[in-house]
Amino acid sequence: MIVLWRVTTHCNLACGFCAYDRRLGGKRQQIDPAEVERFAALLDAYRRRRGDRLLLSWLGGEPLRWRPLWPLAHLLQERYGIRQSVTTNGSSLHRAEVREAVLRHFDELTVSVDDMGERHEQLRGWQGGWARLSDSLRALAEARRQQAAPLKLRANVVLMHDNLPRFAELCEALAEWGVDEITFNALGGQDRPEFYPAHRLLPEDVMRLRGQLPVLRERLAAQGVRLCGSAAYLGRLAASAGAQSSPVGDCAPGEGFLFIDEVGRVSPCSFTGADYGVPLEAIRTVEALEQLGEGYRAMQQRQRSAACSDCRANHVYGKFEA
Amino acid sequence: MAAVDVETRLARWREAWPKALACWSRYTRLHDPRLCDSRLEAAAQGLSGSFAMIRLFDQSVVIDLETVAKLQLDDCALEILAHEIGHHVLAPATVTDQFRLLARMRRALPTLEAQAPLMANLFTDLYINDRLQRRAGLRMDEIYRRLARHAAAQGQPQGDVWTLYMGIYESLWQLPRGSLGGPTEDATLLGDAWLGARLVRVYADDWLHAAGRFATLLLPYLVAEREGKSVLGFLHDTRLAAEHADPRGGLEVEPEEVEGSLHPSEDPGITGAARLPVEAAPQAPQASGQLREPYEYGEILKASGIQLSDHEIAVRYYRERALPDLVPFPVRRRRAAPEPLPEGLEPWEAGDPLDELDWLQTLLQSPIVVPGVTTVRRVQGEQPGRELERVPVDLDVYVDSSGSMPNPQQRVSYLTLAGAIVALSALRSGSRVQVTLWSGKNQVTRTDGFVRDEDGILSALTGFYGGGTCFPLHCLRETFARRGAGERPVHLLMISDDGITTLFDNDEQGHAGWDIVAMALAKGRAGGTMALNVPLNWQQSRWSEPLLRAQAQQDWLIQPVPRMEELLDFAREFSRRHYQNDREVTSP
Ligand SMILES: C[S@@+](CC[C@H](N)C(=O)[O-])C[C@H]1O[C@@H](n2cnc3c(N)ncnc32)[C@H](O)[C@@H]1O
Ligand code: SF4
Repeated sequence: MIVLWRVTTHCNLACGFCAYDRRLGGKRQQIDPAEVERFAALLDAYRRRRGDRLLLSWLGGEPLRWRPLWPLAHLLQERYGIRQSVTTNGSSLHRAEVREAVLRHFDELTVSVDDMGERHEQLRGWQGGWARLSDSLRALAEARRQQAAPLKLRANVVLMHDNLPRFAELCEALAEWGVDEITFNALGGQDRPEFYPAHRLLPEDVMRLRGQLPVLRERLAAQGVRLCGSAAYLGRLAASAGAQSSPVGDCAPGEGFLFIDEVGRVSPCSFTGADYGVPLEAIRTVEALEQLGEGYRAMQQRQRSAACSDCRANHVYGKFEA
Repeated sequence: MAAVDVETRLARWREAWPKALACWSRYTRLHDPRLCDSRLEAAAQGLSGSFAMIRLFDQSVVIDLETVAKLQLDDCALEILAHEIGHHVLAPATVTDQFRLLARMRRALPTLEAQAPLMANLFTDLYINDRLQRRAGLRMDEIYRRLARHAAAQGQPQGDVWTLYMGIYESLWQLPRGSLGGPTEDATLLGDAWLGARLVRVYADDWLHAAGRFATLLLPYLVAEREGKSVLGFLHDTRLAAEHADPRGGLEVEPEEVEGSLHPSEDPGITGAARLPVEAAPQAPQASGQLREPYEYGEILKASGIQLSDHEIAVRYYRERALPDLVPFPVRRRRAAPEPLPEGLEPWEAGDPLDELDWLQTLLQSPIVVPGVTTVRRVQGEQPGRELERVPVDLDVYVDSSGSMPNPQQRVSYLTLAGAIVALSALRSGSRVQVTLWSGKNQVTRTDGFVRDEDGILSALTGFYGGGTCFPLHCLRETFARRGAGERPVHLLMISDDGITTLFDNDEQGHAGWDIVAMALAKGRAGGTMALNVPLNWQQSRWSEPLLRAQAQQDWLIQPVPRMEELLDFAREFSRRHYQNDREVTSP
């Protein structure tokens, strides 16, 4: 089971494509850590009962700036041995103690990098960010080597029409920083409808990417770096670029994957919190956790969410496969 | 709850006491609590604002039953008494730990130091209540529910500090959100309440370690709130915890105090991170291992409930600071002991060794014994021809307190400290000491002649004028004009700067200072030293002329001390040479 938990919607950066851009108004939320602590105990019991593996992945906003994160990460690791990962903009990785904590507590770290140098900085409203990321990631990779820590270092790139020409160059830079794996996803339109039209991937962009990918993948593999994205995943990208919807037959909701948001809605993916979300407070036993899948299916049948008619859930499409 | 009469109420509380003790351990012993049935009676005990208080000095517990009844806590006798006992046995438990706690709290509450006592109180309450609720099965939560109800009935608004604090209890005891008045919606408060509870759990066995972290967690709320009187006041039962206690310790800045002002979310003990040097860490205002300034020391003492004036605190401060530098008490050398030769009687004063008091002679002087007034001791002379036993040399020390000198009650004054080291060392060796603190004309404080009374000496030394510079020649003149030839020799010590040259001006009667000094030295028979805060090459200064002459003609030993801190080296060396009992030096 992979549990992706968006614990906060606070963020320190200003990415024009993202819903959590610090410049945007509106209410910011964060989860009550006591609820995370409680739910983690359930997840652990669930894992034991099922003999399953469990990965808890922290998401935001910027999760590494959420104060209870490290205390929780430590507690969940000490108490239950829960494997954890995080997706971060990397802005706090320049602190040695943060890198140290990452190595101690996480199995994986995904850092978001979208373009080369100043372009990345402009995209994210982060002056000096490129050099900081470069130094931080190199230092993290080096510390990992010294400590023989098992951390997997991943970078995720949001692909847009504008940054695609430099994707190969960016991958090379990331490889040089010491990243093990590179994933990508297409710029989505829901978060910032005003940004999307001018920057979205076009069908010919996806075609070019498809053509490029095998060579690039090979080149990176020679450096020990894995470039992810299955054929099905690229198919999904092409469909989105061509504005075709991609309904899915059976996504096995609530089976191997759960998404929990900052207000405690538990749903089968990040797009269906409002439609299928079960409040955390309602899940108090392992049985209730086990019955989530059935409940989601029933909801899918009774009142299908619009999101299911055009599924964009990465875990369904093999974003992490090669 | 139905109103109960005073006797029934008192009986119930008395009955609860042994049970409350047993909540901690079967072996806990404290004398019975003072149960005051009126607020007036409680106030006479020093209890006000809260419904209970403790005093560590006499291990007392005082309860104001009238306020208890007003808050509808009548049936919480066991909980309240067990809580007060907790302050005696768990936290703070000792006066020293109360100082350490307050020092840490103050450090973590910059600009809001005044809140440190209450925050320290709330903090120790967490530990006490958590134990009583979880291990002894008491209903500590009920007290908070009632207090919240009372506050609501009074229309007192509930601030965020209280909400957060209640949230910590709710989190610790896994009570429903908001059930004690903790946060229900505010995600930041919920997160911080959880962190507060983690803090208490992680440092369950080391509460002092968590103190600065707790204060750091609360700081932003305190800053935002700055609320006036609130329900929190009812909980302030350690306000006078250290009242009447003799302050020991508290002088040194502990490393933990400096490093402990840490948000719990950044605490390696809670995050599991290794402690790494924090890049660009803000400069600590005072490094660890250092000694505090008198002002801060005083603030900590006062925050603990010690009711002393700044001057009295300064006396304690300089005594504590001087202690490590004093010469050891003399050890009697057996072989060298001369045959005692009774020589007569002299007054026995408070501070003199008790075994020197001659009771028979004292009672012969006056049947009513007044220590220091009618008490006498026998003075023993020596048989000639035997190995020399040192004759104590009295010390007449003049300390400059003019505007060029720091106020010893605020910042550490090396003049005062040096004076304390020398004077207290002199006392240890059996000498008597006269201290004269001086500044401008008529600005003089002095001991009551040559005395052996530590407090009197330190009190004179820690005074402050900060005025002009005019050496009190009349004091020197009177001291030595009176002194008989048979009295002990006296060494003169001046601690000053170039202002000492006023020693050689004329006195108010027109006598030349020069002659007065000569007379004093002649009668003193033990020489004079000047420790002066002047450059090493002071001889080249334009004011050096009278000093050069004094050195040449009157045999003054002039010791330049360019940096004030170096006065300590001077004081140690001076004390060793004059008062350490391993040589036969009687004058420099
Ligand atoms: C919302 S962020 C949160 C974690 C962290 N702040 C970060 O930037 O990595 C999670 C991921 O979503 C990506 N992302 C943000 N807005 C997006 C959008 N409109 N379309 C696609 N991906 C987006 C980010 O680049 C990041 O990799
Ligand atoms: S993408 Fe990440 S860093 Fe950028 S605004 Fe969104 S949450 Fe923040």
